[in-house]
Amino acid sequence: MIEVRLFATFRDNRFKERRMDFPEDGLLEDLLGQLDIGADEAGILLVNGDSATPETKLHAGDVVSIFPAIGGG
Amino acid sequence: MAGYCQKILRINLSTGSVNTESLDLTTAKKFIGGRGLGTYIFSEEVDAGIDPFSADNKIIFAAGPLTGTSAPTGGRYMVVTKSPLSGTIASSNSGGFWGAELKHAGYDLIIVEGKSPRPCYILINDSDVQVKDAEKYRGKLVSETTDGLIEETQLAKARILTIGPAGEKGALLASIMNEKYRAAGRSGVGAVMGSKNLKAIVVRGTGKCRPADKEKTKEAIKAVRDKIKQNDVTAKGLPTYGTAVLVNVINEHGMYPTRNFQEGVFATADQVSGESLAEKRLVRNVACYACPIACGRRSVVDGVEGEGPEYETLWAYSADCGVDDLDSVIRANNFCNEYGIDTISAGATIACAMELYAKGLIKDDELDGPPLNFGSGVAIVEWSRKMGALEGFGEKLAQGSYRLAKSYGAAELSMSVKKLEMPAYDPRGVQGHALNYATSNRGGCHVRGYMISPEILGLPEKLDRFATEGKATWVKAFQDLTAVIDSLGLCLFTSFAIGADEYRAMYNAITGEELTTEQLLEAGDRIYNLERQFNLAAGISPDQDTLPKRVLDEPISEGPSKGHVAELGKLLPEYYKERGWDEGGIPTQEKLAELGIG
Repeated sequence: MIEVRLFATFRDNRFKERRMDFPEDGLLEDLLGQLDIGADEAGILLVNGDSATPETKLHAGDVVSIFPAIGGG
Repeated sequence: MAGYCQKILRINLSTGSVNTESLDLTTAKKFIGGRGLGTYIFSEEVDAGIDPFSADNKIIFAAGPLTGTSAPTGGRYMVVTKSPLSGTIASSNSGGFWGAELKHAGYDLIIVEGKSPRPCYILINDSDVQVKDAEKYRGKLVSETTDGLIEETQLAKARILTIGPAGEKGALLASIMNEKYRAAGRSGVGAVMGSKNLKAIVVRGTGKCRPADKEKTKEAIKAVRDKIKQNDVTAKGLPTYGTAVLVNVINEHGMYPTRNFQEGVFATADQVSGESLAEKRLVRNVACYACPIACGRRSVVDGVEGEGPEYETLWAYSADCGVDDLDSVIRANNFCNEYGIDTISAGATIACAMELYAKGLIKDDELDGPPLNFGSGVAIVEWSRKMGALEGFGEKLAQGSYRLAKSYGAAELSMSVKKLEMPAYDPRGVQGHALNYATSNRGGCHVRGYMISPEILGLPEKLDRFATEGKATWVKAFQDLTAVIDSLGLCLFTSFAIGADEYRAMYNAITGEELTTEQLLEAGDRIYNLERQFNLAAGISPDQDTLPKRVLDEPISEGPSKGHVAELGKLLPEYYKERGWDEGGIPTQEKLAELGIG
């Protein structure tokens, strides 16, 4: 079980926060695919607050945060 | 030289004299305009040791060569003076339309000197410039003053810059507002205007800023507009959610300063995020002059329409004060805009007061308002109003967190650098940005070298946010480029989509100059060193290139940035070297000579 948090436009027609079953050592890339989010659309990927990439492997209990490309300040 | 109006307006409020002077183009080219040129003129004319509230202090309103042109986001101007809050050079930037209107009236800069014997305002209607009586606007809010001046002058299309009651009464956190909602917010510049009895500047300009080369300009601008339209940040993120989209990003990294920087995660941040603002209170987007991004938010609460809150404001009043009620944050923001106070410093000062209260240093019998409890929406709203009106205990708050905390013998609880409150990124979670806070020429400021871009957002490339090695090079590059953008008269947000080459192309096409990108960046370096020289002469010694003890010594206790402190000891020596300064942080004669300011 992992926790997935979506932000900004990625929430549209999806969800804000959800606990999901996901295979141990499964790739973040595959999670993005399940969510219908292109790897190139994801501006910031975090696993437990640490910077991640589509190749990052996920483990039970991970918190995955997915943002589109954004900026501000 | 096109781009520049080649005219400076000098107004002495002691004598009432109004003079127009020619802009020296060699100097203009060397310091670009806006922040750079304003700082050069200011430091030539004003002794760095001056009391900021002395009649001999001056305040300069400076547009850039691209302000008022068709360059995307070319609506910005700078307010340059000596800060009464920090004692450093103050260069406070604002968008909206006022800067462009000043150029259309035919002026690059206004230098205001002296002190008016009574409240006044300056009326600029193209070449007709007058100093007028403003007695009836004394104590008036920003919106009342703005509406009143439009009616009085019968100039429906005029753009109004004004201070609120806070600036009139000398609040060190006072801002200058234009078009009601845009702010030259930081460093207390509004209090300098107030000390001169200058309530407002009304500008109406009917001229145009014609470029040197029409075709080249069209081409350069099209290239920039295309990049802005193709970039996810400037084309999607900022228009959809405004700057407030950062709330969740920074919180998820565990570096969202919470309860006066005591923690790095605010559990209920999402309730007070850009997403919640867009869902619940957003009326529409607002764009500044010539801006294709339109990140401004028009929001409404209690039937009152206002602008914002921006990311930094949302943070200062929510996480930093522990408040997760969006409407209270919007109300506090609206008071800041109406009374004319800086939302970052105001929210952060209330957060500091809340910690002083929690520690028993501020006592109930001192408070003529709600208890200063972390999490209290009522407190942030009412204390913002009282701060803006300098009413009761609000007068103490209006002098900023450093003076407040110091008065209780706890200066270390002020989360400020050089007495300017740090914004919404805990430096413990982002080392390059920590270095930027420590070395920013106006104190705790995020927009002098926005290292969040590479360290968090991955723009233009992703850096390890906890690494210290190599960060000095990045910080210097970002600080120099920012000085260029501020001096051109453009918005910093363009830098999400374009780089130094595009700024150079626009500058050359519009002015007819042939600067190389290296020369343009060298001008940024020159401006940064000029500001540094002013600060040193003003007695701001390099030992003030530091951060609050809390972020240097106390690791973040929980969340994704847990265990980290700001490693300034590793970063500063590298930075001084990168800048060409000596080991003690003083620019060397060789460096100054190389930049032509020795």
